[in-house]
Amino acid sequence: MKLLEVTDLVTEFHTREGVLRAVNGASLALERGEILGLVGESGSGKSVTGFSILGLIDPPGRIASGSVRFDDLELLGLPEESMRRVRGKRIAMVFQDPMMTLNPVLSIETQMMETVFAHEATTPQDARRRAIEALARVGIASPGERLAQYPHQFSGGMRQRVAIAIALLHKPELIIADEPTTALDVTVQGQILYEMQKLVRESGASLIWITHDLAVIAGLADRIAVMYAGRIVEEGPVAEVLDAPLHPYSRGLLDSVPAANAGAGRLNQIPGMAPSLLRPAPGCAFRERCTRAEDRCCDPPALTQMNGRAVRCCNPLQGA
Amino acid sequence: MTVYVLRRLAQTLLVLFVTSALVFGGLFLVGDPVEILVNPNADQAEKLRAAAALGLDRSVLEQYWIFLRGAFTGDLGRSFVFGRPALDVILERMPATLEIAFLAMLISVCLGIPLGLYAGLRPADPLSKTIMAGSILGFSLPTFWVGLLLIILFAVELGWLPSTGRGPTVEFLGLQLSILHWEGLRYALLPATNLALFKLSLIVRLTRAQVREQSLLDYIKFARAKGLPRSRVIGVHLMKNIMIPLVTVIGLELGSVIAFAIVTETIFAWPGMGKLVIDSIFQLDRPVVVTYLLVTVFMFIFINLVVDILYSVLDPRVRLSEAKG
Amino acid sequence: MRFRILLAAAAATVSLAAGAAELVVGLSTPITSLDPHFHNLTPNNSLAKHVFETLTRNDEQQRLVPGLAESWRTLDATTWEFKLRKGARWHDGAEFTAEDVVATLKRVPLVPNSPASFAIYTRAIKEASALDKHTLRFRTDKPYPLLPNDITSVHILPKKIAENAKTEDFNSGKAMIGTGPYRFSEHVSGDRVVLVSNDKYWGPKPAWSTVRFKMISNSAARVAALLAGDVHMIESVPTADIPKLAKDARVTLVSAVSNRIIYLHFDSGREKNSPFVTDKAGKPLETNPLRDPRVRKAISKAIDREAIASRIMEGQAQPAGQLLPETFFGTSKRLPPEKYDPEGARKLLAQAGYPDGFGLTLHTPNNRYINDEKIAQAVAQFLTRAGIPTKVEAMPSAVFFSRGSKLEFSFLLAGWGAETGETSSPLRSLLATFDTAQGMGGANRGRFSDAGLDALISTALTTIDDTKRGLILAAASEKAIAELQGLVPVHYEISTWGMKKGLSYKARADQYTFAFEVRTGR
Ligand SMILES: Nc1ncnc2c1ncn2[C@@H]1O[C@H](COP(=O)(O)OP(=O)(O)O)[C@@H](O)[C@H]1O
Ligand SMILES: [Mg+2]
Repeated sequence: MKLLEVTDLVTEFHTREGVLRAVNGASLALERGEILGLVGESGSGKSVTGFSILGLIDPPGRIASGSVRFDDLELLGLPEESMRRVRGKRIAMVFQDPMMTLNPVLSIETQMMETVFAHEATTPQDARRRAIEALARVGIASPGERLAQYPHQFSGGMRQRVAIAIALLHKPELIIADEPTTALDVTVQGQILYEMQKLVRESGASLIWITHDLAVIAGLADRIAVMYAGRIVEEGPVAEVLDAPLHPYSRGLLDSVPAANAGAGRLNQIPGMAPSLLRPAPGCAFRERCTRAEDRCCDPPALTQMNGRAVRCCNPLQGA
Repeated sequence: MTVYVLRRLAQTLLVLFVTSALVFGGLFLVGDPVEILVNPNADQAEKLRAAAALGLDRSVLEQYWIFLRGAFTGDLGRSFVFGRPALDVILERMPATLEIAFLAMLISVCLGIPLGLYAGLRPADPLSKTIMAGSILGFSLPTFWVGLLLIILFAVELGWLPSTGRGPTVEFLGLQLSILHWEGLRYALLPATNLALFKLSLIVRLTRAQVREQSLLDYIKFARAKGLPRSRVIGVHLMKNIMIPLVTVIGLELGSVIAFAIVTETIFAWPGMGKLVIDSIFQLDRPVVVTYLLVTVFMFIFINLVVDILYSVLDPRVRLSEAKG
Repeated sequence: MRFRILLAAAAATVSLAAGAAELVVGLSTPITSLDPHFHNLTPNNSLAKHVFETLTRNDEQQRLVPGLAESWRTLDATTWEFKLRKGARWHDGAEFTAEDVVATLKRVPLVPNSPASFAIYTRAIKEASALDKHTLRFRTDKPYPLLPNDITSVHILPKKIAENAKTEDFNSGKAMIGTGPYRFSEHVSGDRVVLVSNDKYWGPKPAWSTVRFKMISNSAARVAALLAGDVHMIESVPTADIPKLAKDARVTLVSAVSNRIIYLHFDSGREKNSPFVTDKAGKPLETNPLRDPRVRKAISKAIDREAIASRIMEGQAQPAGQLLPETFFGTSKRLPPEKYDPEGARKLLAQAGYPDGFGLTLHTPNNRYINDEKIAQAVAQFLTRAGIPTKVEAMPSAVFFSRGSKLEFSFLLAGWGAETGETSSPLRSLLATFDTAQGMGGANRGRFSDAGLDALISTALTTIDDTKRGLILAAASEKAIAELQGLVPVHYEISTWGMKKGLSYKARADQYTFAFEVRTGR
């Protein structure tokens, strides 16, 4: 049985201009211990998908339909208290901007211990001990002393380590990491990426690593899901998708990675702009920007499954 | 830290000096106290006697010099009207003003923060909209008018509360306080409510705006993602952050509530400093007016200092930068 | 622990007070001092007269009646003999004697830091001696007929207190020992004064076991306190509320014409360049038309006093034709209020050489007299209609009286309350030639001067015989108003008290509020 199965998830925001479908029928699946890379341009709905799984969509947003199965639980429609017991305990999340994630006016100690107490009735001594352990595990020197400090006394990279330590406190079964390295210095990015991978492998947790950077995914993930305009347009084992993408959008993403075309000396940006999520045109959302677009792309493409891969395209690259 | 306190002290002295000079000069220009103090039937000889008795027969510079010399020994002069040290007159009236000011701030804070929280957390709720509409009323209705309305409603029509004056007092830490006495509290309730209304509206609006702004920030979402109960997310994570701007405003407003209690004290015949100083201005009782302003300025500065300290307690980022300075 | 006890004690006081016959009175002006010789101010004097007594006193129409003195007479023009009441006792039980009066008279001029001394009432007495326990003799330098009037303001203290007590001792209550119908109980500065009845009072038994004076300066709040039942009686009922209160079944109103006149004063001193006199175009006028009695008469005729009394004062004023209402001593029967006659005013202006009028500014206080600024506005309108375009400049009394005394105005509105209850008071202060040495014309802010009038006033002030003096004062009033137009009377203020149904009070001309005169029933 899969650990997580997201099916036809629709999440919308009621804005002044109208209803904005940030996630428009996305489906995802994840085995225990598996690492899934969720990639896509900024605004494609990756973060909203992550928050939807955790039930952290606030008005004016709402999850309109779909299902989020986690282990044997249906998370959509779960009572708030049951959902709370899942958050931070069985599913943890690491956010993009470490400067904003920690509460600036609470000490690291408070923010870690409250996380322990949120799910376990234990002694303060025990909670403290576990906090120190968790900090040590993410590579923070003299964790006992750092515990008493406040977020502003930590660098960005260190704060992200703290956030990761908090996420790992309860040995969650699933971690959703929403671009956890994007806001960091390049040198720090590598370290965090490495440690995160190590910790996840050690703990046997599953990981959804959200990023817009394919290069990161290549060395990290088992599978990859490409998201475009609120839908998953391609999904499959990471090596296969990166070697031979089926969807023209995946191809475009690959071409725009600097390392991939270092020899060519130029970057192939995908032409055009991401489509409006407010009033989506019928048919394939990528149509306007696609070099392979044909008349039949005006009908909504179905998800085609083959050999453990899936693609949502009428005219895929390796004409299956 | 000591440098910081010393610098503040020097600033305080300068402000007090400038205030005293301005008030002294200002009141001198307004008119001659003798004209207003002596009985109209008094003849010229009596006016001369009164001027001499009050030290008003000297030049204004000489009078100011005498005042300054006294001020350095803690003597701020004698009230013309009461014939007592002006500071005694002020201090005798101060507890009455302080107690309704504090009661008003207490009402504003205890009602304003929960109401603001509610309106901020549930912006679409009809109750929230009622709260916000009410706060606009609280802002725009004149204090004087609301005061009379409260008297007419609660004292004249319903007869629940006394209309004017101050009730029996209880001595507490050397201060005569009426709000610690049940009957005294009944007297204080209407003036304190009157005084609180504007501040309450301000706090409701400020709290709501802060809640709206802070709830969108990542740290709130992260706290929820950790699985914290809603009560802790709001009560600790959100509250601690919105308290930082709130404390500053509450501190400053406490100062202004003390300074602007005048209108309320007049309507409710509340024997505080505000009413005293209005009477004193009309009677050109310069020592009382000067002392009042000095005491008020001093209180403002003191409250500011307390706010700064509180601020650094609440916000760890401030604590650090101050230690550097 | 201490806290608890105080709490219980305070609670006990409250419940006790509520049970017995208590009178709560809302005062309009705060009491500033309890020392009866420190600050000569109406609310202070009013309170003092409950605890302390005076040798002579005024009845509600300001006629002299006996107080601690049973009778008095002049032995010669400069010697007075007072027979004192036997059986009057101080609140501490000691007997009241002539020695106490002698000691009190010594204290009055010597109270330190006094902003408004009571020495003006004792100055004429050059020597006071006690012949025996109950006989006093006063000697004056000149014949001084007003001596019995003046001493209605001299509150008598026991000798020991007169010799030793400081102002602080009165404020603390320690020295508050008098012979009056009420004893001092409590004073909370700016809030209330509480008195309890003196059961050993020599006169009629005080009707109230407790009297509580609450200071409520805001008039709307004072009325509300009465309607809420928090106070039983208020003074200075605001004119705007009178029509409503008159219809209210819970309330009784009583009023009396007061000893205060509202009048217009002119710059009649400066021959040229009076500061606020202009031509019609607004340019300064060199000559001063206000020196011409015809112009002043024209101004008097141009004002519709009836309209001001009924519309602006809501009936709380009586149009005035002289310095005091006719019922007072020293007034004339031949001085009715000037008739409203705008045509006559124009004619007089033309006769005086101003057929086209001229411009004026009327200065007025805005917080001193009932509706002062509104009255000034009305006067200005009447004058403008009669061809004298008049602007109004209103200011707080603190500014007004300082500037007025520095002669900065050309035309002003002010008021005068005759403390003595007879016409020499306004005549000598407002109309006699300004003379510091003689103490004359102290409030003559227009520097009006007429030798003939001065002579009449000084004669009156040295005429002991009441009948003769009354006639001289009446003649002086006629000369000052009808002949010379030294000032233009507008109206006499009417003072009004409001109380709950079932109480009665004899409204007083001197505006004092005396709890010992408040009765239940008719
Ligand atoms: N609270 C919100 N209100 C309105 N629109 C939102 C909100 N959060 C996200 N969106 C919109 O949803 C879309 C997807 O956002 P997001 O999931 O954050 O993209 P990304 O793939 O970069 O993480 C964007 O167009 C964004 O503007
Ligand atoms: Mg994102």
